[in-house]
Amino acid sequence: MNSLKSVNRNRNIVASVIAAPFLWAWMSCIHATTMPNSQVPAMDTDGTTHIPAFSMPQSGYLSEPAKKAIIELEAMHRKTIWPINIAENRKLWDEEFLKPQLRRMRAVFPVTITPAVLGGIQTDIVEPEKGVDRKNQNRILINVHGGSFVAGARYGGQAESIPIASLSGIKVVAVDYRLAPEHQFPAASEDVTSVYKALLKKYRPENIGIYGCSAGGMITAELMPWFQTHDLPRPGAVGIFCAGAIASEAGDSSFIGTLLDWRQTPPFVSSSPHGAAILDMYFGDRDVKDAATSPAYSPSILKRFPPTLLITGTRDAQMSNAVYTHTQLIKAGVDAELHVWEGMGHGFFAQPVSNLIDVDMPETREAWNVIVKFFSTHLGRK
Amino acid sequence: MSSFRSLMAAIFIEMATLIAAHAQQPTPVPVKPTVDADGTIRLPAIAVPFSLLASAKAKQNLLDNIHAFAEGAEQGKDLDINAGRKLLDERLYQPDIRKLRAVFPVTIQSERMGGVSTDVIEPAGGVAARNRRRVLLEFHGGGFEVGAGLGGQVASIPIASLGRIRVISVDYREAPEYKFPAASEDVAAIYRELLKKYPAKNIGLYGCSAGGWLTAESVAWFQTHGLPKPGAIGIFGAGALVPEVGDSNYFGSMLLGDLPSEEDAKKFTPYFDVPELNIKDPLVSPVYSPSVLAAFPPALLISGTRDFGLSAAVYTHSQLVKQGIEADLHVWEGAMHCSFGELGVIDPSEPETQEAWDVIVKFFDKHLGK
Repeated sequence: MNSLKSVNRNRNIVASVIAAPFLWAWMSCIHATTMPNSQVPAMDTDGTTHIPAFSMPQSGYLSEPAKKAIIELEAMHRKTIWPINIAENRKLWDEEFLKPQLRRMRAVFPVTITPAVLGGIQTDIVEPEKGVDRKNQNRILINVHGGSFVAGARYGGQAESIPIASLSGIKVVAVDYRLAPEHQFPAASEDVTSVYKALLKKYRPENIGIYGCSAGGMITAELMPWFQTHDLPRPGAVGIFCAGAIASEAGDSSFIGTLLDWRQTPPFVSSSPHGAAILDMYFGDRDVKDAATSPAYSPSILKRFPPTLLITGTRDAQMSNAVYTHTQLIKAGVDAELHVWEGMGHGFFAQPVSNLIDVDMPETREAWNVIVKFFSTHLGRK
Repeated sequence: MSSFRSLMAAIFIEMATLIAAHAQQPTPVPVKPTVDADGTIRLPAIAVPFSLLASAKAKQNLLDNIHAFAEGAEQGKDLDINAGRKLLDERLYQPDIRKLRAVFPVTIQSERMGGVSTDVIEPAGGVAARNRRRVLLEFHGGGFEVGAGLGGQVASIPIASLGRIRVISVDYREAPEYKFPAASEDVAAIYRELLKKYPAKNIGLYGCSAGGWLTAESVAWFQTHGLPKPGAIGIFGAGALVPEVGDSNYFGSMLLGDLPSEEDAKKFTPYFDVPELNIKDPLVSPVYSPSVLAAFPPALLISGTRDFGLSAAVYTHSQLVKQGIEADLHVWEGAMHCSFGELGVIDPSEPETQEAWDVIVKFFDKHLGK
């Protein structure tokens, strides 16, 4: 390892937030009391950082319910089902995770759920039990569920739609799009587009919002170039959550989030052509840097995005994709909003197939409120 | 739910193993993270390449900073505070200022305002007509200990030039000579002077690192000292608080080849080493006081994925949003603490740095009164 320099020193936490490395390297000499002699991080001349084994506590900024929820999630995490079988596991998630989650949510958020086939595609229409607000009669949201393109059908979409429909007073259509490994790109884009076209007969495009988390966030982003090349009007606003407009794992958080949230060692992730091997199931051997699957790399496509909301967390392996997409949208002149929750992982507020969603957790409530306010602000009404 | 996560992880491994086997490469033996009962995660050693989402210039600039960092530590190790400040001026700020002034022609006039030293920085071509009745106050970073004078100029020159707006860089009193609330008092003294000439809504405040923190503290100070709120503020590389130990205290530091910080946040910088000072007092950490936050002006928060201030910034952002404040968050991929600001080796041609400056200029133009 051709290390530039490893600087041993001890410094206080406040200094870590207020002084840049240069200043601090010097300041720490003044304030240093002890010199740790354990392994220290170091950076190679090619920019690779070598980080030794270490322990990391929960974030000091987390709410008490969030601290508890993450520990509970960890206990669940150990109940892994072997061997891996997608069909078997979909059943398991439905019965053991999603259905109980839906019961908990419906106790707090009274909604009606009506299955409907729109444009030939199965959907669930989720409406507040007290009815859609008068001001929202002409508005509708499309939910594209998460689940790594292989899971989350029906019940996952319902769980992502219930709090939003209830809190916003807007009707939400959760789309049961075709999944991998049975189907591949652009199957999901085609299915959501069929639903969108059916809705366009009743709703103005500017009154339609589309949102999704994880795979659902990626699909939402991919729909924008898809609509552009299929002569469809853009929707009024979109929410790309737990994802960016990039169909690969590319940045700092693909390492950090993989460690902290997926509990895996990153070199495995980066050995796939798409960064994350799971994405191969849906994208096959496609070059995902192509603008159709990763619009964040295409300024001409980005500049035609509607107002876009991006949500992630500091432990989400997709944080880098989200923040990069945000800066590129801003550069393209799009009205884009970024929200990052400290200490939170992938889909903490949305993805019931990989999270215990606590309806009372402040962080979750904050995220839902941001989503509701965003669509309320940006969707047309007429 | 979590078994889904495990399953996905298992698929990662299975597929990656297949790919690796196919490529006739040895498969590394994974050492997976484990989690303690209290949620502490024990992580294996890893190698992280520079972000594939950041520009080549950003990578070079990061490496330049790491070099400067190592050299600065070596050269500064036996210096006292004043010699250290001088070293920073010579090694860091003067070269940065030369680079910036070559790109951004400005005039710099020293001026005392309300009894406080300042540098007034104006674009050489003059302030834009739309900005005649507007002014920005800039607070330098440097841990409330260093950065006075030249550090502030570095953070002000690009904004004054790109925004065609007057920027006043404030030499607030620093530790160890002075303690809290000396800096807040100095800011208030200048603000009072400016209010004689400018409506409050036409005045913007910003700073990176300690300067971002001071920006937030100043808004709280104004509230309790009968001063009107400014038009807009920029909190960069920091939050409106004495930091807790957040995620970025680990990864923001370690991704720069640095040690994480695990110590208690209550160990202050010398500036906050004041007997009986409550760190959650709104004048120190406004983020913990909803009613104080609710009276904040529109706020811009900027950070990076390799900034140890990221956690403080995103937490402050979420709390401002919760209080209904118009708050914009921007995080640059691969960017270190104040990468666009005054606390490192600046490259004015780096795309990410230019993007950040553009965001700052547009934010104040949108939110300040005219």
